[in-house]
Amino acid sequence: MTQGNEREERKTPSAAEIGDAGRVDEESVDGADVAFLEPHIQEQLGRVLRAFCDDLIHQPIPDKFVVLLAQLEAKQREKK
Amino acid sequence: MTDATFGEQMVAQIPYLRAFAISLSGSYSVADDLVQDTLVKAWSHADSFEPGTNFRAWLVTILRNTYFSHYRKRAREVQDSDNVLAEQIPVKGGQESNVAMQDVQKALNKLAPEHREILLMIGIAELSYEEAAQICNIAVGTVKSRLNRARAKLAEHLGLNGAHEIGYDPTVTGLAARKNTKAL
Repeated sequence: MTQGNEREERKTPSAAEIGDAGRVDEESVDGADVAFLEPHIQEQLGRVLRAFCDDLIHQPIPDKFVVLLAQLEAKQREKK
Repeated sequence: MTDATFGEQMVAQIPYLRAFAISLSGSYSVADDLVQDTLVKAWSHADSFEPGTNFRAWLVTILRNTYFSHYRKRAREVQDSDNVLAEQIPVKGGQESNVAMQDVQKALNKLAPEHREILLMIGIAELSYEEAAQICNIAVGTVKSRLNRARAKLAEHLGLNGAHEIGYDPTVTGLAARKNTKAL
């Protein structure tokens, strides 16, 4: 996956984030009670979800959205 | 940002917005109205976008807020009355994994919306944990915790989850899982 890199680039550590660090562990541990999956199940779920998300992202887009944006743009041009 | 660029950027984001909206609401018709609303709102609030920040995260924020304030009830009704999504989603992704797309959506519908939205913000919109935290106004740790819970529930609903029956060492699997938290 290529998103990892983008994520890193976008990351701008703020004071708030650093302040969060302590809480991160605490809450992750809290989530751990119910949440941790066996590695093979995790892997399987990851594949299923990836396929699901990719499929949805690649669904054909109805023309009406592009038409709508073109209309909005045209309207704005008229105003000027 | 010039207007043309703004419009072009919006067009580029439509597939992600629509995918997010479909799986958040569980309905194509709700999703399309939601995306349309989002585009109009984004257009009229264009100057509230801070250049240099993630454009998709900004749009997802608008879409998500619109969903929870206006569409959540309708989506629930649609989900209950007819399974629109089940018939329309191709089963392409399912062939590799033996899990059909509609089964994944049905399992997603069973999640708490707070958990579902996190999973989709990371999985579909490809936002960072930090961005998801900001959008939902929660701590990054809560994002991770919700993501873990969402995944565990999803595995259970999909029947992937043997973890309950098989005795497993929570420390070992826990550590292994935590290393991979970035992955879905």
